[in-house]
Amino acid sequence: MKKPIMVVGGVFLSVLLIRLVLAFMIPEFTYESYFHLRQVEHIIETGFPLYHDPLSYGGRELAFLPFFHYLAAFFGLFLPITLVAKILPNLLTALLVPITYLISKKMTEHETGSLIAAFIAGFLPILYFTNGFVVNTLFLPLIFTAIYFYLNIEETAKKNDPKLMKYIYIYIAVFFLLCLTSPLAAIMLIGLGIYALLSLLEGKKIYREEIEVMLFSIFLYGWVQFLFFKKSLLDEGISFVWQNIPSTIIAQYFPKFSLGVALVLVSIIPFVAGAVVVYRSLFQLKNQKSFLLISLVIATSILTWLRLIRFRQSLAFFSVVLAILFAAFYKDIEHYIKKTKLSHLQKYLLPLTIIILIFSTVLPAINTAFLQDTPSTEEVATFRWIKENTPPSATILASLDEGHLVTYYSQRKNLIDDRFMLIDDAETRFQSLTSLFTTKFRTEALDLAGQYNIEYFVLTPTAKEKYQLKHELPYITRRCFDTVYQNETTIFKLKCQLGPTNQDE
Amino acid sequence: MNDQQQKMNPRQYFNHLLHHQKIYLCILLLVLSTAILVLNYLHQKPLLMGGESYYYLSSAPQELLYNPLTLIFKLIPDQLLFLLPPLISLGTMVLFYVLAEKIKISEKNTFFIALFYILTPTFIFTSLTLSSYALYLLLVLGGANLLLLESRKKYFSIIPFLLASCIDTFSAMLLLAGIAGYFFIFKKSRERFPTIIIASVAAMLIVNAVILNTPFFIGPFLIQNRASDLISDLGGFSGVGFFSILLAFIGLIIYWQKKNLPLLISTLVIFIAAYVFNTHTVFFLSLLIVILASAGFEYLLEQNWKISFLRNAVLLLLLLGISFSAVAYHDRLSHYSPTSVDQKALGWIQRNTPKEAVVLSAPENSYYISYFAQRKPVFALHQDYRQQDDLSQRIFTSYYIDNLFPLLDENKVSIIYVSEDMKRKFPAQQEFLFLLQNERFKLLYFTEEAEVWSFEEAKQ
Repeated sequence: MKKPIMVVGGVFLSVLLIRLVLAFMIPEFTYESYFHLRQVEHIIETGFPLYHDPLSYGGRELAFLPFFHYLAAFFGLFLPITLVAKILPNLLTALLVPITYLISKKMTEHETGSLIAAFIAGFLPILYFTNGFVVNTLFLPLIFTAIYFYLNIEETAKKNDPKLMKYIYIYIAVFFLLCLTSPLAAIMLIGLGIYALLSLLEGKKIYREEIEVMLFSIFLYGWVQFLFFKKSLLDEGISFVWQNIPSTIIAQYFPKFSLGVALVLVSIIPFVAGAVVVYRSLFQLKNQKSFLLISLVIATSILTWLRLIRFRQSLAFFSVVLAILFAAFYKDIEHYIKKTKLSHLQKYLLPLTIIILIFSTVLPAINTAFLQDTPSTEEVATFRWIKENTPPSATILASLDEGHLVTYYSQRKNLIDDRFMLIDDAETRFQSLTSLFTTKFRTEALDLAGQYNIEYFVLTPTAKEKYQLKHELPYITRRCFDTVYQNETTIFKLKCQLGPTNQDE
Repeated sequence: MNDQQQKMNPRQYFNHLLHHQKIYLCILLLVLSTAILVLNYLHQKPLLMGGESYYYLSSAPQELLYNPLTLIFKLIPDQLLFLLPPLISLGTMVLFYVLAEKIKISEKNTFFIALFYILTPTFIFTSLTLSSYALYLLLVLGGANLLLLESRKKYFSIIPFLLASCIDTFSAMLLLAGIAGYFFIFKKSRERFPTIIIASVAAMLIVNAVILNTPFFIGPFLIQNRASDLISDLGGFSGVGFFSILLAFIGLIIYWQKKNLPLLISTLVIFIAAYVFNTHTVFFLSLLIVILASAGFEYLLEQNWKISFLRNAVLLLLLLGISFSAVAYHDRLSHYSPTSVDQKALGWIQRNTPKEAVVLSAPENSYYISYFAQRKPVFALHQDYRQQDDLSQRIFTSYYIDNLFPLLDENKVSIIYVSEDMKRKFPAQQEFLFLLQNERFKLLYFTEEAEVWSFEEAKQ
């Protein structure tokens, strides 16, 4: 009994250790993380999230769910926030190891298969963005914990077990936190809906307690989202679900499904194994135990297809489900080998699987961590410089990704960042940003800078690469711009503005 | 009696509420309507809201000579018209209670239908606007109450039914189908009375549609948005809340298991089709959603839940959700047009522009222009919606004066009213508002919120 727990504990600690080593090897965070860091710092200072942000977009309202930020702020009371931002997301993601083990065990009752599933969950390449201080790192363990307790509710309802109420209370608590963490909790609800439908079609009994829990989950989710996103719903209507992302970059956020990318980020072994298990469960074995997970896979696929979930988020969720389904695959393979003349080779199955997994998941995972999109130390130093050397009311032009660096490190107003919700002119601002980095005409640049009161132009190596600029912005001249900072990154200060032509000149 | 007996438990409170529901719910209805009227008065806004009200006050007397609302206006002075919508709502409520008693709808079901009706944005809005469909509902309920009388008094039901069939062809057809269904499917009557009443309504329908040119659907009076016009939480002018829709789904599943499913499905299909065609008919769809939602709520309440605390939590969440939708809608109503800014600017146009001037503004403002400015607006959405919508799109999204000016000349535009809402919604640096910088436009009147421009004829 103790041995598997020790193995799971060992895998969990190894995963956590590797993740932390990788996280600390890379000095900065992913671009999106700086938004969350700022929110956490604000909660530590004031007790409340920054729902009215005076810097983003030059001042705007924000709508988001705050549980992740409060959790991080709680740890931030005892530890420096940058340390919390490195440790907490990796700790939370590593928790997927024991959760995956528990779900796999519940589904398959197969020890070795469940341990391998836990191992896979710990080394999924898509989850190796170790420097991302993002909500998804809390969302994933929470949703899989909710799934685990839902499975327990189903089981205890079936047996009329007195433990039922305990599981219901825990499920409700976890689901409530999930609702306060991410709107993607909808995956769980849609998954439960599909699960009910599948069960109905396949003649699987759904217990009254399950229906009651489902109903409660739907209304609780609706209520929480309504409270937090009321304004977004009213302002943006049905397009609220697409988060007001400018049409020009929507394809970047919701790219079309690419099998190649999916195979790399999910890893080929769990992907193929998952596909086999789903096929056999639905069409051959009618295995009702995996219905819930299959329903969740279907729900995620539908939401991704409708472009309601970002590709990476859906892939992350998808990959953990596939890791769980791998346990069933392993169990089936083991049983199959036992029945063949090669049964004497069964002892090699486990080491062989582990070797294959090390090559197909662990190495790509570590590689993914090194390929994370983070600002360089020099770029961060530049944004820090801005804080010390520019007036507090200045507006800074930086690329879309660097928007949060402007508000976090420089503590200055930006033109745009990737939080588009509740912004009326997100599309126009994005077009203006592109023009300011690509136009060759000084009048156009000065006109746009005047419209948004932009005084400083930051040109980082990342922005140069993104906009394919060989040297500097084409419209920069000494007459109109001062170079106030020059390193790998350059900062220009705007000196002139567009006005009527002087007749005397 | 000991303390425990003296204290009422929640069930007793609920029973008390059920027993005295007529009083409590009528008070709730009056409080909600009065609160908005008072707020409008304090904000110096016109007391009547919505394009439909001003359509009846301006163009309808010429276009719809025999509409019951235009007939009523001949009897009531303009200053008292703001009292008409809340009175219609109150009358509807009272007649619903009388009917519910007659057809033996359970006390609980009556309570939830009435409660959800009061808290549904569509009906909150109709208690502030001159709505022909609200009047239709009142007349139909009145007619139905008379129809159920056993004596010869039931012949009086013909009067409200004939008046109700004058509103538009669609609602008259619904009424005809309803009466025919009642007599021939439910009652299986072979008396002369059903034939008389059906023939009268059918004759009125034909006269209205063929001779008096009554429209098939009244409206729309707004630019249609099929998602938000149904779900008020998406920013629509009316509609129903999210939670009502969720409950209606549960109600639909319950009805699915009952005998009257074909009737329900056919009604649902007709109302959805009508809504897709003209979102002003959201009134009927909302009514059906309210009935289904109340059935859903009653079902959840009555069910023997295995986990009783989940039942209480679900019901509480639902009531809070529906109430919050209503409160949020109530809050938004005070920002809806016509505002005091609209009234002032349009009053200025009335005093300072030639009577034959044609005024361009957002299509929604057309009926306010007709009433307050007493000038001809460019758009009249209720007449040819598609064409008018297309024209407004072409005008307000023009990038170049070469595209815009021919459209303005063609429609003889001489005055432009840029409302607060237009300034907020339209981009200032491109399209229509940007093109106002051209020399052919002259700013005549402006405040921080609204502007009036003239459009000069082209110099030869």
